[in-house]
Amino acid sequence: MDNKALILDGRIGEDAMAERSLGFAKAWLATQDWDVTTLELRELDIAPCVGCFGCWIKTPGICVIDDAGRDVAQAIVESDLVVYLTPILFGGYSYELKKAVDRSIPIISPFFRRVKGEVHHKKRYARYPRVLALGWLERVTVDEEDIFQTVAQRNAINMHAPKAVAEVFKISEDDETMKRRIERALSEVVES
Amino acid sequence: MNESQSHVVVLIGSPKGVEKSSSAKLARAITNGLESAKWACEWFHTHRVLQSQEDWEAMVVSMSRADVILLAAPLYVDGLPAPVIETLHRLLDARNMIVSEEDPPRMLSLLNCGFVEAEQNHTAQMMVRIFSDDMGFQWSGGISLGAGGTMTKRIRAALEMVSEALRDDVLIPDAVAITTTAPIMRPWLYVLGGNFMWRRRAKANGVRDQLKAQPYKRV
Ligand SMILES: Cc1cc2nc3c(=O)[nH]c(=O)nc-3n(C[C@H](O)[C@H](O)[C@H](O)COP(=O)(O)O)c2cc1C
Repeated sequence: MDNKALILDGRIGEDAMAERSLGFAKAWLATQDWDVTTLELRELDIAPCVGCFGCWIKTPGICVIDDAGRDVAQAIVESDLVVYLTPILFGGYSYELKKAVDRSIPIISPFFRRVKGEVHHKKRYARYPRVLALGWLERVTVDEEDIFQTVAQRNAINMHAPKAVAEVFKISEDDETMKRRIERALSEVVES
Repeated sequence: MNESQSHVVVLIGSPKGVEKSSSAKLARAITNGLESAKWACEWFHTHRVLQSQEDWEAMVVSMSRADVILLAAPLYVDGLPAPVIETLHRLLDARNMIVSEEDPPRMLSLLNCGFVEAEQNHTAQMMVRIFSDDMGFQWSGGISLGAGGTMTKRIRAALEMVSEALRDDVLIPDAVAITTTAPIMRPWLYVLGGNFMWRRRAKANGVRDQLKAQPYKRV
């Protein structure tokens, strides 16, 4: 495995949890010689997907909207590991992160295939990054944690991630625990 | 609309909006039966209410007098489209203007996805349910459709049953989910037909031979 990591910071406002998780993730990746790019998504000009499928049937592989959403899709394909940082909203990703995720379907193929009896899409590229999703909540509930974990694994099927790991934190989590869990999750997701 | 009239608010969560989306077409199969029973029906588009304060306020006012709130949206990467998440998140802040403790509206969601299996909407349905609970609405269930929301006779009949249950203010019958989640065709046939359709559409755009392009291939 090469060592290009992309951190997609999905904070929706000032967010101490985003700062903390970003700090711990970057520090660990640096010790392991990863080349890290961080994108704070709310600072970028990323229009929401318009649902036209032009990225498959008009300009295959490239979104028809010419803004930073294209760059994020490209950066994903060019990475070995993508780390999502997000406050958890209704069990799922923040809208800032989801905007970028919705705009990343150009990197897969329109063609259908069957995976474990279900319909999904084929790959466009030979390689896709592994994914670590780090999410946080004021109060961790079983439902929301379960949805977050499930979405991470479902996304891995649809976006061809060879491996996906998700971790959910409560915002009162102390630094020591958070650091340890993030380091463990990172080593788990990158291990071959 | 008048005070005695029942009132449904439809939130369309597809970028294709109230005119062109499968979400809206499916929602209409429910609201038609409400309108013939003289319900007032107001439609809003999540992508638009985020762009216009005036539309946003109209939606909040409309929701505050709703008996039923229907969210109709497509599945996007195993979740709700980003602007739908943003709308729901902002609505939580407006909760006090929308819900009164005595008589909260019923909420249901109508999600459709591109794959043939309606069950793929499951995680997104759970998200809408959490929103509904957080708002203090009466959760009335999630209706899931696969195959791009293809409207068959069976599905139309199931959506008419939903309409009837809303009119009578009773639970949505289990028969609805049984009908809407039954795949409209075998997965292998859907794969075959779908792949044929992508080729045909690319050909119409003159890019049939570029379908497998890899513009971001790593060197
Ligand atoms: C960005 C994007 C992501 C999508 N993700 C999924 C998905 O994860 N699973 C699925 O079955 N369909 C997915 N679809 C397909 C849509 O759910 C499907 O085309 C739906 O019928 C669109 O409904 P609408 O016309 O109401 O927008 C996706 C489509 C787009 C544009």
